[in-house]
Amino acid sequence: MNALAAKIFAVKRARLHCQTDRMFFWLLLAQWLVAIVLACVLTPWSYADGARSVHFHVKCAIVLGGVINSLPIALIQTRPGWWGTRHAVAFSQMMWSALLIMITGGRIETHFHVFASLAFVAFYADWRVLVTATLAVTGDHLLRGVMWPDSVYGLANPEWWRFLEHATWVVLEDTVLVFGCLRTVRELRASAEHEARLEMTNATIERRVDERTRELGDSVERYRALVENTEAIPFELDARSGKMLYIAPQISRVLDLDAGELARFDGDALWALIHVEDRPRVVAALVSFARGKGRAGEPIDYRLVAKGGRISDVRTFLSDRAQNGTSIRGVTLDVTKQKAMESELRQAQKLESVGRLAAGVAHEINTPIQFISDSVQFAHDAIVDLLGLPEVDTATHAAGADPDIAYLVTELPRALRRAMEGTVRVSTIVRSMKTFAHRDTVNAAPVDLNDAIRSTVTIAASEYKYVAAVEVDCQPLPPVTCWVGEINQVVLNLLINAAHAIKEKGTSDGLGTIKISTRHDHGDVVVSVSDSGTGIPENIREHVFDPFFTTKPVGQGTGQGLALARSIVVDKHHGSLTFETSVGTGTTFHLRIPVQPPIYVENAA
Amino acid sequence: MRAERGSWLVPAIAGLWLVGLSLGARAIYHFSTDRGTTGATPERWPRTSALRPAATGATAVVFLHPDCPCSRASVHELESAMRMLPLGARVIAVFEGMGDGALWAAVGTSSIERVLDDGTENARFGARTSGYAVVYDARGALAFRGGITASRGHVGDNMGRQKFAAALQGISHGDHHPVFGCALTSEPR
Repeated sequence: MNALAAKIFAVKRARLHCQTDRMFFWLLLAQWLVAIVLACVLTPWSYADGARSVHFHVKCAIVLGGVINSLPIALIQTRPGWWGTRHAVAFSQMMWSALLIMITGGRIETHFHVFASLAFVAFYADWRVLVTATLAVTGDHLLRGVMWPDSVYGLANPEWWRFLEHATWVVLEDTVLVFGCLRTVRELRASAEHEARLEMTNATIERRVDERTRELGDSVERYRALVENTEAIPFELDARSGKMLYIAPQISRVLDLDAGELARFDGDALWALIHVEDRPRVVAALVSFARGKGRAGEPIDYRLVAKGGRISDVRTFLSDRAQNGTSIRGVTLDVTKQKAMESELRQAQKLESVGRLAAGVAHEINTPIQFISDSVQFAHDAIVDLLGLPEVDTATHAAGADPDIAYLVTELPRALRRAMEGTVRVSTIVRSMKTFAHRDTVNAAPVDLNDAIRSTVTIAASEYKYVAAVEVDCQPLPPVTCWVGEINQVVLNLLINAAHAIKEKGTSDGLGTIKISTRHDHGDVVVSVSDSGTGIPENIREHVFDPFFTTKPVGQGTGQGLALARSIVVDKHHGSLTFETSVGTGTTFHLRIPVQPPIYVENAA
Repeated sequence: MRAERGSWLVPAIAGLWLVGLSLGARAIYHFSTDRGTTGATPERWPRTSALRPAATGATAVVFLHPDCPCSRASVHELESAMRMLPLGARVIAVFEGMGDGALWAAVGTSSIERVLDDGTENARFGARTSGYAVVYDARGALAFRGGITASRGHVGDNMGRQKFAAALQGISHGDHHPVFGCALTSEPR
């Protein structure tokens, strides 16, 4: 038996001893009570000379019974489980046998108390206690057998060995009881060994559980550290209540929260920080995704209003629907810098376009300026001539008597008219340039898209006029809420690409054709730019919107044009940019944006 | 360990306890073997007695206090001795009053004759302790006197009962045995 089993065995045996002590506590008290009651019933009084007094048996039951109980009960109370306690109990139990036999007047039936007591003492499962009890009862028989044999054997002349006969019966019972005690101890030991094995198994399992828990904890911490030290902000959202179940602490950087504010930050408060114009759209997108309609990985761009009113641009990617769609997981990225860079890039490209167009624009301006100059020169010379001549008869002049006068009368108004037309053209070009280069405001604004497109066509004239004729077919459109500068950029890119496609195809058989049309289609406006160029080969069609993809020679194209165009149309205006093409025939790009930006009702969730 | 702390105390208390038990046992012994007093028992059947001896056999007379617990043991032993009662013998129980009637009624179920007495017969036969028994043979001579229990109120075989039975059967003559029990009225009331 190993140490643990020995310890368990000791505990179990001590518990058994204590339990038996408690049993004897009540048994001893019960015997005391029974002895008093028996004495009171059987021998209440003794008589002498006609007077009666309390019988000696009653006094004896009370006093001697108390004495017999005193030590074992005191030990049971103060030292339960101690070996001395159970030996005292066994001894006193045998004394009770003697006292009860005396109180019942030596009734032979009361002698069975001895055997019953031995059985009770055997509850200790300790054979030594049985020895004590046996010695007590044998000693009592021996002593009384010598001094007062009538009281113990019920015989007038008992033989000397009578005590041995009585003791033999006691020993016979002891034999059975000792066997029972040993078996009980053996079972107790087996039970202890079994428990020890179980405990060791449990300890092993607990140790493994602890190890696994620690490993799991480490793993969780590792993943937490990994997750919470990236720029991405993972989150989990209860799709039914909208309650934010988890959001990584990096959100504090987006919302300018300090550590204390972050500790108090309730994920639900995040909803209030979504820009009021974006909130319906974000909610609708989340609801749609939770219902299984949205596609994982679709970006949702919106703005968060940080502490102090700073606006942060964020982009959320919803990754999966956990727990049967009751929660949504995803990551949010702070794209404020990216957005700013994109804006700068778009502006830079716009300025690049402006720069590139500048030469053409200068030429466009130069021509009207030239004939304005010529016309003004002519007008100047004519007026000088007129100032050098005498007073003429206007009637004669009118009749064409003087050929110079007649010439001046004809050409001077024409020159001034051309000068005025040139001025208008210059003004138009300059206004178009101004319109084109205009930096958009933060928010979209309603504009006349047809007017914007015409301006773009005007300033891009130098890009196409030697390769194609541009036909503009603008149908009436309602004011379109958009970032017009960016739409201009898209149209310019499409126009330049169209011109390049036509130029690539060649203009030996005359100028190509670029058609720009606008139309209103069920809440959207559609701007179509068609060219009669080369068309887009099938093998590159799927790459035309990829950033840095270009088919142009190095130095002539950055590969950013269509990628930016798509970003502007799709991401910023929630529209679409598609194309139809036929190699050798030409390409048509369709730019479709909503007249009004998408509006979602707040209670869409 | 608690058992080791004050290790002298428990043996000392246990010793005192054993002394107490011994004193108790001694008190019991003294109480139980405290012999009752006896008066002068006539060697011949007293002619003044109102009791009538058996015509052809021995006559036994037992004097009992009706409420003394020791009397029950005497009656018990008396009944045991009467299992071999010879023909013609007569056993008389003289009650010093009826008391609560329990013992009187119990004796009434046996073949023992019951006689109520006011103490006169006690005096005639020298009985001063409950359980005192006398046996006179068929010729009226005293064959036994004394108690028939081992000790006070103690049932079971004993020399007193054996001598009593032997005298009743005419086997022995002149035996006596201590009597244990409550005191009887020695004078007529």
